[in-house]
Amino acid sequence: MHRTDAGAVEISNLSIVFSQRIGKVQQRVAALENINLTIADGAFVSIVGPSGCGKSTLLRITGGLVAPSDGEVRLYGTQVLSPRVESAMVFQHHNLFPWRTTLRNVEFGLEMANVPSAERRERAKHYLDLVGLTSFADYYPHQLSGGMQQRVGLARALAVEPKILLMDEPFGALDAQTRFLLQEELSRIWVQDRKTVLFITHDIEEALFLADRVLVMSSRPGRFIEDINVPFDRPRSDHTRGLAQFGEMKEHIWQLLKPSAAGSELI
Amino acid sequence: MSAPPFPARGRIAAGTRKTLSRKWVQRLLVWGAIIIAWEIFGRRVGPFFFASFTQTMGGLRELVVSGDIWVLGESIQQMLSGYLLAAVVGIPVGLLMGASRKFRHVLEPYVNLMFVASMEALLPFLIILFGVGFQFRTMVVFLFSVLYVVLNTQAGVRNIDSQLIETARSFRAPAWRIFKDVMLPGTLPYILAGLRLALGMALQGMIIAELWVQTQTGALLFGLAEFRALDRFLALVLVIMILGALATEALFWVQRKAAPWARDLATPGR
Repeated sequence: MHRTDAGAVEISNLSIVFSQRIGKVQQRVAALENINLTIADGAFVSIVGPSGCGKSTLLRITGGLVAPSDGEVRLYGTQVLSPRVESAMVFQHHNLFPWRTTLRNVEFGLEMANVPSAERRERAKHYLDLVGLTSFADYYPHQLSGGMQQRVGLARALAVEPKILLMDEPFGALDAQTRFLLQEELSRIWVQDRKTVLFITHDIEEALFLADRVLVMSSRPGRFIEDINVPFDRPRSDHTRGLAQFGEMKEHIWQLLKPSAAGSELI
Repeated sequence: MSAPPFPARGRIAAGTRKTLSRKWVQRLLVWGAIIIAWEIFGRRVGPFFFASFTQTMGGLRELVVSGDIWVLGESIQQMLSGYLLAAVVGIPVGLLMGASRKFRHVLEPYVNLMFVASMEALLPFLIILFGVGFQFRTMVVFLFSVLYVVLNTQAGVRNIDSQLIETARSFRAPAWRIFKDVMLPGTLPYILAGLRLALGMALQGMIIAELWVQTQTGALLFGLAEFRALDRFLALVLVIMILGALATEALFWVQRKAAPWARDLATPGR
């Protein structure tokens, strides 16, 4: 089954259909239709699309949490049938365990992988340090700010040292300033070890700032309408956001999304 | 490691300490007023109808000197056996009802029926089943308290954020670890709250059962009232109330220590 020439993520002919009740009529709605995507090892890919286009569902299928109606996903050649060891997820709502302290939250994935406790603690501390929260190790999630909570969620995913990071609008619920800071921090962390990242967002600027490649998605049925290479040098900074080309690309993607966005507004 | 820039919410800041002391001043004022009113009322109506505060304190001394008060200890021991049974049965049943739809659909009508039904109405029937001894009293305490454990535990399981279960799954947690590391800690504050409410009910069940079969504390209360020894009667009632309040307070403390993340749930209205 394992092929060495495979991409980090290979999605082929993937569809998902769910039935929806509208009045008395049971309707089958295609949330995702015939999705094909190959992500190279070490690439940072963003998927941007209007809400309800199925981008989160696509991520959850890739993470092994949802089974597709048709088609398949492979991570480094292995078909995803349940959550794989190669990937770890960061969620839109931090989803930290409220009864665990910050450090113990970061340890969670390592516990599930039966990493011995001394090593577990060391690794958790390392990743907590990486996101700048060492001094908050003994705090409970409700004692942290929204930005800190997301950092802990990121550290928890990084701690299992996955090859692929699956991020589901992780900064979507944060205020603009915190979002900017975390985008820069994620960019900095990514430059250090160049994991494969699949990043879902509805924020065009965020997608452009973070990714090497932006896939634009339409809604109902969700499918890719454009595949854009992002040329900006790293490390990226506020300077990047100010480039004329950055603004042009932002405008271009917005024009692509506008019909879909208007459509989803009408529903 | 540098100091965190703001104190954790769990610690008592200076402002909180001030409100704490204010709370106790208020409490002492109210209690003092109640005791004074009690004393005046008791002296006005005379010992045949009521005992004043000082008479009640005298009654308390008599209870202690005569050793009658220790009957309460025996009652409480029996109450605890029924209470523990309620915990041992109630927690697993609550967990099952919360986790399994089938289990819930089968049991829910009975649990709700028992919850709204008058438990006292069952007492004559329970005497037929269990006699008037240890078994009867344990069963009454059990029936009085078990539903609070079941219903709270069940509510706890059903209130667990499904996203947390999904998160655990994404980290490849096997089913038993989801149970142990998500379901149980998520339900713990609710279980403890259920145990706290159940303790008050267990105490009520204990007294009611003993009044019915005229034994131990119940028999003592009945006898004292019948002989118009209201000073000792009120003293005994007071001791039972204070014990109940202390036990509840102790369980509040356990709840705060065992589930520090769930302070709002542990201490509603505080």
